[in-house]
Amino acid sequence: MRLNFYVKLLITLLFLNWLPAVHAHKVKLFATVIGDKIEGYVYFPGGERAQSVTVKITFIDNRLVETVTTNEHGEFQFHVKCRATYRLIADIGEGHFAEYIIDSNELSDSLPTLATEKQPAVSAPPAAMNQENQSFSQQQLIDLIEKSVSKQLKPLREQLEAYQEKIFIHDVLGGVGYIFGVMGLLFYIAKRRSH
Amino acid sequence: MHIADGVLSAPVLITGIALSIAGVGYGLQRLDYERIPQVAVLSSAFFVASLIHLPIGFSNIHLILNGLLGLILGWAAFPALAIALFLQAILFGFGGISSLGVNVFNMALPAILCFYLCHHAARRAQHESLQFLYGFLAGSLAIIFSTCLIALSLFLSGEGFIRLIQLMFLAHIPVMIVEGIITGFIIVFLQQVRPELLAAPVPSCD
Repeated sequence: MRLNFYVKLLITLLFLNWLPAVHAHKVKLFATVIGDKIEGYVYFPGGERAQSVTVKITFIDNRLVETVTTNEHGEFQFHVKCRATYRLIADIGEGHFAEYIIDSNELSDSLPTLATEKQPAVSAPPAAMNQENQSFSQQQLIDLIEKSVSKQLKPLREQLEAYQEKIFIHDVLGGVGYIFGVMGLLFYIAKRRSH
Repeated sequence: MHIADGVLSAPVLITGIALSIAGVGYGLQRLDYERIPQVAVLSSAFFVASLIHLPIGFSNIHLILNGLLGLILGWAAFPALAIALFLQAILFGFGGISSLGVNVFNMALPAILCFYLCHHAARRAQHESLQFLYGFLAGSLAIIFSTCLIALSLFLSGEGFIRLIQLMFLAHIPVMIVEGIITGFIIVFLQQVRPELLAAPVPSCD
């Protein structure tokens, strides 16, 4: 009985050994919004994609919306029905999971918001908008495009900002490390000279 | 306090590099085996201190600490400052690579002057207020000297000297005060906890 368990364990381990997921120490998830679709992929640092990984899509309060599975390229997509902040979680087990937050601001304005999801009234405006479309002056159109572009760029800018902050801290620590490295070198030279 | 690339003229740059190489060489030659970690710690302190900007009224300042380095390290301040300034230049673009020699010299010479002016007195001072005073003097004098040297390097490269030095002095008055106070406190603190740091056999400088 006991032996049986160990054999099973061994076989499982051997089998798991073939999965790239086990070799990775960390998994990452990247997602973007295109219209009303969330598209993304799950990958390991270094670039390899994670296939057949279940990605849980939940609201920010952890209510499950849907689960999707990545295809052979590690990609997944999901149609959003309402405007809300989503949390995407890819769990490959063994405590390795990746999380990505899609802010409600990134999603198209035309989608109903989470609170008003059930109100049918929301579906009316698009028709009205269509009629207006023709009467847009060039200036209005330019304004609209600029507004929408800046809206799309905002999360990117924020990410970049956070990233720069991180780089700065790494550089500071790296610099201190260099100084101590030079200290070691001086010790080495001094030691050799004294011999 | 860091001069960027493309501001100084070639003769100034070359003189700065030559003087800095000489200074670093002399500093390394005088560097005791036992004092290497101390140099590294103070070099890191200088490296990090310049990156922390403190908002003060209308502008923000950052600590320089070259007075403290000079006071404790003596001639070893030259290599310590050279490494820290080099890393600041390549990692953060604080000061240019070509002007590195001038920057090192402008920081290190005041440090060494402070060492000769204040080290002996700060070491011997028994009373806390006196220790603080010498620390304060070292910290603020180093800034004054550095400001003068920077103004001089700019002047030699063809800028109007008097106006420059006025501007730089005004801008650096808060730095001088803050720097002096902090160096003063550090010296008092060191005299209490690790007096041997100051009293250590400084490589044949006395």
